[in-house]
Amino acid sequence: MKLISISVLILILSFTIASGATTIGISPGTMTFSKVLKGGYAEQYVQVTTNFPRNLSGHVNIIGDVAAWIQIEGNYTLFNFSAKNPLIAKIIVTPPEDAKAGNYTATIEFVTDRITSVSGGAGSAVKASAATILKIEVVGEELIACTIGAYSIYSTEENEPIDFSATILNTGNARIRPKIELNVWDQLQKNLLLKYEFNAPEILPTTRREASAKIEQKLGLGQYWVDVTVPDCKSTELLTFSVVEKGTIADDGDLHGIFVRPFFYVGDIADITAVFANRGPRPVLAKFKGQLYQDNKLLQLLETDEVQVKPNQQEDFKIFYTPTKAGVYEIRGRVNYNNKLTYEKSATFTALKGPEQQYEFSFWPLLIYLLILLLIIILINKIREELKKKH
Amino acid sequence: MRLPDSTATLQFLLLLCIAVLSILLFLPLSPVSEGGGIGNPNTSVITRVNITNAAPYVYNLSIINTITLVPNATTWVWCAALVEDLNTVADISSVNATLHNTNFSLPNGVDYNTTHYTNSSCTNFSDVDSFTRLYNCTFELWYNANPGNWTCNITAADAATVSDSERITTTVNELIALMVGDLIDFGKVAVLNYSDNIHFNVTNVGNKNINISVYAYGSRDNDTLAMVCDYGNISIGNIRVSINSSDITSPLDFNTMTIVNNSNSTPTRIANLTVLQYNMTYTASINTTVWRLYVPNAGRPSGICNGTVVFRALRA
Repeated sequence: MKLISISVLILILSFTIASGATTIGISPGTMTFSKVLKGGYAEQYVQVTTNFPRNLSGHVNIIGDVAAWIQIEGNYTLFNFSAKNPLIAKIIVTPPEDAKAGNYTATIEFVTDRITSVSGGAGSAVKASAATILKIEVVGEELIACTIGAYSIYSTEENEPIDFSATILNTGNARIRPKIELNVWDQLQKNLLLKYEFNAPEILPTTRREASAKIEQKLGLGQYWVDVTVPDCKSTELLTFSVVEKGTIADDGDLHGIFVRPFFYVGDIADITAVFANRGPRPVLAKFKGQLYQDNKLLQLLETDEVQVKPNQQEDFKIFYTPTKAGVYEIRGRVNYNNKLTYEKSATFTALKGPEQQYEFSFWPLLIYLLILLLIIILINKIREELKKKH
Repeated sequence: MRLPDSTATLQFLLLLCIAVLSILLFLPLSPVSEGGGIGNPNTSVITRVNITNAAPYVYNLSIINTITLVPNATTWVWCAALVEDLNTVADISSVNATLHNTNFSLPNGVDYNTTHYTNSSCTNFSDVDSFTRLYNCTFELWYNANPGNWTCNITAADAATVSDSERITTTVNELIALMVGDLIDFGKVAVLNYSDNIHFNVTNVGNKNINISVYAYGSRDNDTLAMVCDYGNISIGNIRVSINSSDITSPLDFNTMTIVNNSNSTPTRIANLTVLQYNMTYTASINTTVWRLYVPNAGRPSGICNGTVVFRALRA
């Protein structure tokens, strides 16, 4: 099988190289927007890919009677993509208020630019295009629907707020801000101790957002139950948490490491990732703080934005640096989370002179070579002289 | 320096045997039972068992939710799992995995680019503790892997060949993709003459069958031209396409060939040109189109003539 795969690869590569071919792909091939409200909103993503190793430029055509309803987030018409950097475009559909209810279709076409031209005679440069068909159903009736999941509630210490969060997907066709009702009951679920209500942030149709709240509490130590009701999503869920003594909950975080490619050219952007995991029982606010050294000399202090990391979740802190000189660079740092620090981790990378910089004339090594050569000649001469004297 | 003599070699071998024997003396004993008396109903039996082998346990699998393939290339997919063995991780002898299309293949099926992949030796990624190890199983998925639900099935075995399996599902997205050359070169054509048949291949490099449409223009969309020349131009009706490749060596009748549209909103769907997903043979996913150009006197073209042809792939 491997042999067949390799043969096929060779065949494909040879075909590609021989013909100077262009490839383009789109995923998915059709996008269905169901029950979009007049004056409403819907979105989906499309990914445009190629196996071309270098940047390939292209343009987008939105075609059809309802092209005016369709836009790509960012409203761009020109784009660049490559094998390593596919284009991920958010397609937004917004039918006007006066649109007639019914089914519509449109096409979005991503076209590569020409990469060659005719040098003699007559010819046509070929552009490759991949298109996706949009099927849009417009309705006049408002449909309120959503699904809710990924509930999280964490045990807390006395007088500390309760952290609650959930993710809501708007499956209807109208914007919603669902009301979330939380009732906190005692351990036997007989006495209602606390009621809390809040509204999720506005969620557009077909999109999902997290709704979270910090609920102040003065409950005693022990276990409690919370029933969560979201009427818009027709959902109820029972959760539990505990209130424990001060100092009982120990935040626990771990900086797995700092990761960076070992070699870059001077002028390239070094993409550094510090990977942090929250191993504790509650969310923490975390940020990476570190230093960048070149040849053991402090170059720069590094600090990222603070983000919330949930229990058992991992956060990749990204740092970008453009080395201006060749040499060995070291990044050392820790993650600061809820006023605690992880162990320090480090990583190194080497910035190399670019291919055009590698042939710079260097004076000092040549001088040293010449001096040594001179010394050898002097010594040989001296020895000869001594030998002559003896004879 | 003195070379070792044969007595010294023998002394060394003896010491080696003593060392091996000492190690063997520390190996665990077999299960033991004691005190059982035949014919005595009230005999209490003390039994001891030394469990010498615990089965490995595969859990906590993870894989990317959806896989988007790259045209005419491969995509790496990682499927990871924790493997626990209470005889310590040293007892885990092998971890392998399969990734297969749930609708068209089985875990123990034959490897095939569109439906089934095997990794017979997953990588030991890191030790979580002395009993648990994280394994990473990678697969190199081809662009023509069938869209739909796929299952990653990871199996771990220990030294006693006891094994455990667990699975997780993911989705391969459909990929509508084509590969075309860069230029349709008609060469030198005199005014009032037709070009030769120019063969031009279109290859399906996705995982669904595709329909091909074409449109052409001189310098911009909908400009009524096929080509713009150093002097003058050639109008759109003078570039034609056909899929009649039965005898592409003799010139096709220009009048029977399909006129190419000039606008991206009304591209010419090349009739019967559905390029199949590469399933059984690579050549089946390649279709040849035949092109001809007529250079009329109208437009007074001369010099180098340049145009653009766009090949559009749509889901069939």
